[in-house]
Amino acid sequence: MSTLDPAGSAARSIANLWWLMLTGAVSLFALVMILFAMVMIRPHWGAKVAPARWIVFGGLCLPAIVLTPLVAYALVTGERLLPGTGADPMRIEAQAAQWKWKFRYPGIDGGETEGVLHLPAGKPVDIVVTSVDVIHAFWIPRLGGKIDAVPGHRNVLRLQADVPGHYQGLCNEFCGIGHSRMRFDVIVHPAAEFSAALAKPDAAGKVPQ
Amino acid sequence: MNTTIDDGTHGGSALKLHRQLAEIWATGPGLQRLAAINHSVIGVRFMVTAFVFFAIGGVLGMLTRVQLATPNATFMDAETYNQVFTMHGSIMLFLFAIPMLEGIAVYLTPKMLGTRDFAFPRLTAYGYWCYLFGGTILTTALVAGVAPDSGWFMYTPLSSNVYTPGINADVWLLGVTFVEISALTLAVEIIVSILTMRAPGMSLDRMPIFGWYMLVTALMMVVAFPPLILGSILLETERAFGLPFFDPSRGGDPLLWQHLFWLFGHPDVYIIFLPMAGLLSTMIPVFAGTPLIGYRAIIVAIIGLAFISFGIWVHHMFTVGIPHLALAFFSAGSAIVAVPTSVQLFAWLATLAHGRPIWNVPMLYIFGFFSTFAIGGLTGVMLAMVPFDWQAHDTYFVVAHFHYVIGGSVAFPILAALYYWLPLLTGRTAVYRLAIPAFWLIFVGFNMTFFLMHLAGLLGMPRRIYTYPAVENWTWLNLLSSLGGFIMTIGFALVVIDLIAQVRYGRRVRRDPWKAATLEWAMPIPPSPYAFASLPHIEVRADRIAVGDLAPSLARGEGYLGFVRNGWQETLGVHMTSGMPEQLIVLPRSTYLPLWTALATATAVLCMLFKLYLLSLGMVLVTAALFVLAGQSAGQTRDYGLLPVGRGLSLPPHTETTNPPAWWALAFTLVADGTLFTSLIFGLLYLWISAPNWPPVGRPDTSLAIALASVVVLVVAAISARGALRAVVGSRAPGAWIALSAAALVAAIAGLVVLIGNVIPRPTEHALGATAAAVLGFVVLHAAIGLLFLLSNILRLTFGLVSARRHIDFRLTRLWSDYTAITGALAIGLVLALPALVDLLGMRS
Amino acid sequence: MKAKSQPETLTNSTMKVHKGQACHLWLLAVGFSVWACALAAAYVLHSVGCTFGWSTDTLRWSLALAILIHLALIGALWRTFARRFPTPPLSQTDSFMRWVIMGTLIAAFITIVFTLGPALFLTTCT
Ligand code: HEM
Ligand SMILES: [Cu+2]
Ligand SMILES: [Cu+2]
Repeated sequence: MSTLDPAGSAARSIANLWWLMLTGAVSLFALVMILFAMVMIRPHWGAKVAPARWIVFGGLCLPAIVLTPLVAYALVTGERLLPGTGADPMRIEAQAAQWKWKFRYPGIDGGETEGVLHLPAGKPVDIVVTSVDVIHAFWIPRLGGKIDAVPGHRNVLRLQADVPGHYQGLCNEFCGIGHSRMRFDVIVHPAAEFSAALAKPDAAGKVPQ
Repeated sequence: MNTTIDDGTHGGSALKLHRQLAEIWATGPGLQRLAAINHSVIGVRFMVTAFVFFAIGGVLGMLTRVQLATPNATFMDAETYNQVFTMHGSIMLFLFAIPMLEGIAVYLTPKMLGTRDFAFPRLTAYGYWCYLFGGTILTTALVAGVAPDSGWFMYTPLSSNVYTPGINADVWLLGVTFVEISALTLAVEIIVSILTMRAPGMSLDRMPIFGWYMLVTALMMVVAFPPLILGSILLETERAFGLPFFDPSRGGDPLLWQHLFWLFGHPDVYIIFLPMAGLLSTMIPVFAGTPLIGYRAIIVAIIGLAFISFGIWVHHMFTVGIPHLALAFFSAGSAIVAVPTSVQLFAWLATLAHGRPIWNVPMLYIFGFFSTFAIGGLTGVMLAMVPFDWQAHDTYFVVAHFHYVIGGSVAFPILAALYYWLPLLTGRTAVYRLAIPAFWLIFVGFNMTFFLMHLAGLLGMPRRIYTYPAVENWTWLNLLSSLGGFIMTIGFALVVIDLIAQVRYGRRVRRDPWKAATLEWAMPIPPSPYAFASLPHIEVRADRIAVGDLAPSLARGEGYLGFVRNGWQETLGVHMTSGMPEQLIVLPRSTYLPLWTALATATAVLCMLFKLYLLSLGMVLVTAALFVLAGQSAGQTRDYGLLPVGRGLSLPPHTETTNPPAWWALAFTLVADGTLFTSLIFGLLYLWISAPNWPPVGRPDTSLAIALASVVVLVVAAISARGALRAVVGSRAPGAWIALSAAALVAAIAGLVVLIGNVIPRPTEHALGATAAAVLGFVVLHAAIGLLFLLSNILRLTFGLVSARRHIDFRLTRLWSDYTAITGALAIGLVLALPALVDLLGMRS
Repeated sequence: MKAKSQPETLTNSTMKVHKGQACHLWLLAVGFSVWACALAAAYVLHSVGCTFGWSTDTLRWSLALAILIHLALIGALWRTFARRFPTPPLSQTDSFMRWVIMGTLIAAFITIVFTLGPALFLTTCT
């Protein structure tokens, strides 16, 4: 479940952003605490810096230097994660209901699975997320960020799993008493075997037609 | 009221003056305490009640920690857990944090500004009772097992009557709205008092920094609460009467609720934080032994903070599917909001650096604040980054973040402030032995509880789950976190013991134990109900006052109003910017009216809760009548002209000025009301552009004739209100104008009711009809309140409270009628434009 | 501190000075009100543009125009106030108000650039 153990491109770029921010945050926190300790322990030390400088350097320059590149970096990262770009990726429909997930794979033999999502490895997929009742959220922490399932709206999330394997997904928006248990399994197949694996009548989670 | 005027000679010795003033200002003993309206009394009540709710909320928080300490726990089932965490969040925010800051504001602000009370003491008391009753309704529901259970932000459709059919959600919507309305009245009062009731000579640039913080906070409250109040009203009407504002199958949109909620919710965080920062900005210079550095920079910063905090609410909605470009506005805004915060942080550091900071108990707690606030601020910036939020949103990372900001950055400053101001409140100094171990227990426990939650969140643990399987490696984090919670709780228990010990056994202190230089220390401690025996004239920035010299002179009555007259509770009104004295304000004496009014309001809320709508309407009318009645006792039956106020100055009483506090109060109330109106219009247009299932089946169609006629009569009503005012000022009888105005309002109401009755599509069928009806209903409500204003005019005339100089009531009516006419014209215009808007939808891509 | 200044009564002329100052108070909010207006305008333009399928260029240019108009507005306010307040200012209160008003104008200008600027570079409607 760990977002820090990414298994997909989106999760990886977000994890990178996190480590970067963590480094920055630790240094800034240390800076503030050291300054606090210094002004308390060494009364004359800080008085050498004029009052206006304290405010201009600490209050204005410091955040400007930190925030401007950070926002730029985060926005660029965000742009790269957007769905709908690149060569027409595969679409999978995820439909949330209290308290289960259904997945449909248009274009692939009319398959529908419940509680299990099948994905191809190494290929971008756009997940179209909807809800039939209250708001839920679709999240596979190791593959990427989350998106809400809002009744009346269709939201799209771009994911790409690196390698075949088993992962966990869950509902991440409070949706009533079944919220804690509204999880689903994710099975990532080698891209070449994906359609075949899904077409099998005994594929995990397959809803009989 | 006594019509002879005592001469304003000085009252002799300090003791004699004290006796005379105390007799007028004191709250009676025994049951008469229920009639208390004095700011010191009500302020303390607010704070104590808020602490009780903090304890209740804390116990609920601990219950969640017990449940989560181990995987697959069976301590609570999902249903109970949902009630517990929802109530924990709701109590902490609505019944602890906001009332706490209000209590601090009520208690401290008048004293710091050098005045004797707030502008509307009865309103303060009413606000307190509403808070108490609203809080009681919510906690009773908890005990009865029917507490709200949809999370503190009550996302619909989960909170709609389809998915939460019981009374639970209604308890939240009604109870919280009740408390919010009380907060709103207090906010208006705080603004008006700060702007018009300061010590003479206290121009804005001499106002203590806490006054600035409270002014900005209160202004934020006036604009922040209306969207949530509107949202709650709409959701409650959806639940009770089936109007589909948020139901996507009938043209509503659940995202509209989120917008309205967070439009309140985000600024709320700063509303809670700013007063705390104000306390810090007051205490830190005292401990540094030097005046605050960066006074003006801080004021620019908090003005910026106040505005920007309204422009970043969407950062709570990064995952709902809004396009990235729009998210960027709010992401960058959430980042830049860190700048004003760091300006304040560095102003405090600079103050410490340029002084000789001393270590003591409050300072220890301030250290606790610095560290938790730094962490909370840094994780806040992280969450502002859209991609990171896509991962962290609604996980325990967020729970950790907001406990650092609203927990750490509120709890630590409040405890610091408590130890700092308790000598003022009780006249005793702390025992201290327990305060230090208590700090370390809280500090260690706090960080242990909440720091580990960051990690749990990153490891994928979502919030609001009542249990989790053992396979995840969340178990040890949760166990340690719960353990930390117990350590923290022991720390808080020690604080409580310490406080009780101090109140009962503390050593008596003399005035100004911290060598502070603000006005609240320039009075005997504990403070008398009248606060200052006479009011100072301020000639320096009010955080550089030589308290030791000033206090005895004020006590001897050497400032303004150092005497008693007519048994009046007197204080001075000043010019907003320059602080020059302008009017003599006579405040009402203690009365049970606020209690009765609050009881009537509470009954209205309870009737609503139990679906007795007619009875509820009746109680609303009773409440309104009590308000009109209260207005009557605030007048004078004769003109006094200029009255001596001491130090050779003479001023008119507030009844004979053009802009007494009541005028400003109405003006700021209209700001709040205008925000609500704007939110409603926003709601309509929002649904129009983004809700599913638009356009509706039936094309909207409004009778042009009736619509235009309604606008015309609203304008006529406004014009006649002006006529009435002019008549009064010219000493002519205004009766005919009042009658015309009333007739026009009744006609407007009739016309609008017909329009509402004919709204297409039917309000229950489609959100278009529902919002159109709501917009028109808004106008009906205002026209009806306009009738109350006219009623008040008539009553005042009958009681002889009106003269060519005492015409304020008519000025208020004029303001209200103008506002009603303007919003009415806009609302009706929008409804007329609906068909065109619907046609436009055909051009969607 | 106590009773130092001459007691004063209010004459008509002091009243007039007051009137002049009273309008300063709301000027404290002007700078950031322009920012709020710019944000609202950009947000509305964006959602209208995306709903009604404006071309990327149209949307981009209208956003740019909205930002520019508001920046220009702040510039104009700056000039007005710079002229309106005499230097040296009349009183301590005036110089304080001038400092704070100018401060909020600068801050609001930067905030507009920082919060709305990115909209000129990002994908429009996803
Ligand atoms: C200043 C004090 C505190 C404030 C203002 C506060 C506020 C909040 C709020 C607003 C929530 C969100 C509720 C929701 O999601 O609906 C929350 C959740 C939570 N709080 Fe607190 N809290 C405080 C103290 C505590 C304490 C002392 C504990 C425990 C030791 C605690 C433990 C929790 C936990 C575990 C949650 C998550 C519940 C969940 O989402 O399932 N809080 N708190
Ligand atoms: Cu769910
Ligand atoms: Cu926020």
